[in-house]
Amino acid sequence: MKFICLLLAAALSLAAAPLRAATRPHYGGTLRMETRGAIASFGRSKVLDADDQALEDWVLSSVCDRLVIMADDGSVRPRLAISWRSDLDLRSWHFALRPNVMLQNGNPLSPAIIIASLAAANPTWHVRTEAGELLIQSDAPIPNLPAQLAEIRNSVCVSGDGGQWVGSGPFQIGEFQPGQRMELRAFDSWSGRPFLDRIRIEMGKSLAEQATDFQLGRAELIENSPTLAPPQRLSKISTSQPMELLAVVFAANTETAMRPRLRQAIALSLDRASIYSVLLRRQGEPSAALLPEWISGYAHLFSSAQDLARARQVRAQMGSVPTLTLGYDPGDTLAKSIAERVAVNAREVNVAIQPIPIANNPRAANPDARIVRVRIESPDPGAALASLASPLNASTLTSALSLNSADAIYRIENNALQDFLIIPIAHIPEAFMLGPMVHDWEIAPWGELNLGDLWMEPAP
Amino acid sequence: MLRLVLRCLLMISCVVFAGAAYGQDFPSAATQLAAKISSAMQPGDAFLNVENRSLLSNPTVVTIRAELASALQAGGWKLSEAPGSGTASIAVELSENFSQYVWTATVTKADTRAVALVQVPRPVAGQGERGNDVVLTRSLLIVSGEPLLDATLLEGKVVDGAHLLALTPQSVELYQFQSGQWRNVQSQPLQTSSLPTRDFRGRIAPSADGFDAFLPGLHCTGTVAAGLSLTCRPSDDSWPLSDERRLLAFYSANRNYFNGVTVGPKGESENIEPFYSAAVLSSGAAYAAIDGHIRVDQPGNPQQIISGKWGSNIAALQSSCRPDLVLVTSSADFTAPDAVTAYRLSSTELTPASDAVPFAGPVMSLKTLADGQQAMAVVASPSGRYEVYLLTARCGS
Repeated sequence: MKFICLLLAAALSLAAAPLRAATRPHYGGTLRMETRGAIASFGRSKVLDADDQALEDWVLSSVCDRLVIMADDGSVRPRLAISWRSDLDLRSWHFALRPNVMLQNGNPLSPAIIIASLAAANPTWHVRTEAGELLIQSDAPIPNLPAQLAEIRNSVCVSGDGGQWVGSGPFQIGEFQPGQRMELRAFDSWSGRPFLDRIRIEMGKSLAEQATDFQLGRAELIENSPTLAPPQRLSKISTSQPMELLAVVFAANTETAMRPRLRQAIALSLDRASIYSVLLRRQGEPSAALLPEWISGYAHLFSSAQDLARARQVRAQMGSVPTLTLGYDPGDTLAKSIAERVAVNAREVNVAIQPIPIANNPRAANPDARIVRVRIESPDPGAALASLASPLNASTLTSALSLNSADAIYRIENNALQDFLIIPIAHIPEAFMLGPMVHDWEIAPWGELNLGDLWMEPAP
Repeated sequence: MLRLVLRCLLMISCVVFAGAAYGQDFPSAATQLAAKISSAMQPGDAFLNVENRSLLSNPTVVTIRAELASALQAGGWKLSEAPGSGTASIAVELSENFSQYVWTATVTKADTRAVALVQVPRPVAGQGERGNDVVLTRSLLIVSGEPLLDATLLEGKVVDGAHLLALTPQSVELYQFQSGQWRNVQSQPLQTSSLPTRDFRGRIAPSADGFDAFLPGLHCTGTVAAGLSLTCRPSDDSWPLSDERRLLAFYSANRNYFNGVTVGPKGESENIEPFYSAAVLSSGAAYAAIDGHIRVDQPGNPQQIISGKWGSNIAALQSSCRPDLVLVTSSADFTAPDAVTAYRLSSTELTPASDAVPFAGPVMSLKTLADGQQAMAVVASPSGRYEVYLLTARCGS
């Protein structure tokens, strides 16, 4: 049989056992965590607010396993799959599954559960078992399939009695008050019991509330923001790579959709450098690209410099234009500040923009454009670009999913930005503040948290 | 002409050096980019500018630029020293993403702009050491891509034909010292799984007729006489705290520490606080307790607590000038580099006797070998590889 082994995972069972500390971890304790995002229900929705998306990803990665995960160096490591190989045409991938994995509900994790999870998340895949292995097939070659399987959307879960996620990860969902509070309890999984006994998550907390609670010792782990000064209490700050895209996205069904030059003038007028240094407090990077440089390696090809002369030149080619509305989430102070700054920049080239809050505002039900914050979920350039298709309403980006050529991915991104329906502004990192008792904190460059290996020093 | 030949020779040697240093085929990547540039725009007069946005060193960038210029010229481009009207501009940026180098070229002539990209795989690199007072020296024995839990020298020395045994979560690996280097000559799977744990620990130590390997809930015995043989059984037997086996202790299989029950050389049992590791001294022992303190237990004296933030791994080391040195790792998290320092032990304190010997990653296991004068450290390097070091102390500065 003529197939090649593309990647063979090193070893069975616990070969991927994580590195341990010079100070060995302590078992026990409860971590109190606060987040802006909130989970109201456990069905995975297509498009989420970036904050809700982040929380959903952190919880999913703690509760459910994936076939493989991605290491910080970009290599793919075994989890529920212990080895894998592909046929020569890269359309068929075979995975040997880890035996004797138990779910948090006491049932064994069967191949049927894995098939159902993957098929639901990837409608174009054909997933089945063959000769004791899991077989994933696709009509088109998928050279980066292991990297795709490492995305959190490919988590393997079933629904529990209350609809909650049930998986084989290090934590199981305990008490849950929709949109407000969630408890994750330690589970003796195949990869070993986590060090913490439980994690209590207070959801939907503003950054100011989080900072206050941290200051008062009511939380050990909170989110940090470029727009807030760090609290005075002794703490550690940890950030991911810039992995959230901030952009202006125009609606396709409005008058501006017919005026690419108007959008080009707005794009050229943007002073990203000021937004970066003032509003983002120099966190992240200004960018005119969809993918950040650390993922694509080519973001510098998209010029992010303000060019007022050219913007005025383009604007002058048009007659009068109506005032445009730019929507933003009223609960997001950063989005509001950026919308206001975009309006100020546009005014310099004689384009009037009115920022308006869009939640519960009937007048703003259909603004000409909106400020969008999208969490990029994969460090794999093709998968990352494709994941932006839905939130940015740019279906052409999906064709990047199975590509691994930087050249080809660049061409897709470049084409998607040609009509200025999407104007990227910046990429910002996820940032956290940790109490001094929290140890072995790990955040992947793309923002994924490893809460299973986190431990807390006992209170003195 | 001579200058040109010399420049070419220098260029070739630089490229060979840079390529060897990085394990990369930069010349082919440069040639590939030049070909893409030529197909994106008709070759002609051009000004080439190369900027480095990556962690590539300056000498490497110089060689890449030379290679690229050479390939462009071979493709028909006439490169000028400065930009000029009617001249194309080729702006090359040597960038990188999180897994590879990405080189981009923007070719501009009048109103025409074309872009070309190539990607090049990227590897990783490492670092060194020093000492003082008592000089703690380290020598690297083996490097493994598999997680290593512990290792031991069967004959207690590094000579031709000597054996080194390394314990992984699934196997025992046998190395033999041949022609100046350790060669992996045999691997024997454990066949029986140990209990799952997130902080996997194990111990392998020579015995009278072979060796013993201990993993959480598992005890294996083996020999190397006629090849590596191994028998494992579920067990909660006590583990030796050092290779000379004077002190044993019971390991908590579902945690990552010893539960505090120790067994002495005459079979006498003692119950102390749970601990991560121990330095077995000529008389008594010091324990790295799970509360971060070091507890010293010596016959005839009450137990002493040396408070402070100590690392979890300690071991004893004897030297001709200072007996009973205690090697201690740093107390950093595993995301930070680690270090081992030799301390003199008094009844109430540990005083540094050596400079810290740094390691790029956390020390996973530290133990004294059977002769008491050598210790072995297993280090998880940031590159994901596991390294086994032999530590010895010598006197003087």
